Amino acid sequence: MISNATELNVVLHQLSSFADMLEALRLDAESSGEWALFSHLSKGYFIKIHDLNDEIRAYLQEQDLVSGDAKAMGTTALRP
Amino acid sequence: MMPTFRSDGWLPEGHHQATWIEIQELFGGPPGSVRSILMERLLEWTDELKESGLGGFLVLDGSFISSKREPGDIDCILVLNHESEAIVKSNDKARELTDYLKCKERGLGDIFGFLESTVRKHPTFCRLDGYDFDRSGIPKGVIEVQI
Repeated sequence: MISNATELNVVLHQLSSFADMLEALRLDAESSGEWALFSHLSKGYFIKIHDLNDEIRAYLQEQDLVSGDAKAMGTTALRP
Repeated sequence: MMPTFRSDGWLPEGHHQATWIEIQELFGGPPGSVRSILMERLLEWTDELKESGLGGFLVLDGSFISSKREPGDIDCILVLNHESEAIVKSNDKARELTDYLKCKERGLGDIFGFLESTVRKHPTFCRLDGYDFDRSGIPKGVIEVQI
């Protein structure tokens, strides 16, 4: 679970690394026309990328809720 | 010579080349410990890889290569050499040994297969640095070992 912006950056770095590696495997398969290995090896990358996306989304949603609450509180405070 | 752990429990930044003897000495733990069980699983798996004719190297990461007394599992990138590609394509056992979910089932953790030939053909996309930072963004070390 991501708990701050620094951890978000680390998870984004991991996401980009795994996405690049998946892309490298795809480019390799595309140039050779050999998709069996891609299909076999890509499984783990898809699962990991999916998990990292979920982690990022959960953190961003939480941040949005927090900032939404703060905004609501600010608005309430400004009301006469 | 393997570096020593930093005060935060990780190895110093970098990809450190190690032998299996060094890995056993540093990360194998005492008999009966969680570490020794994980070490045994790792050795069994790599022995089976070799028996199936697979070769290449591992980039080991995660709590297993930290100073943590009871690591959860073993995460790594398995970079298969050119000869292994044909074996994985044609051999069921080799496919099973390099299958992400099957590796999870045998208690190894996240094992990501990759190809040495892909590293050569698409070097800019071949990021073996996914695990080079801890959760607080501090660069840390990983271990590379030949299968």
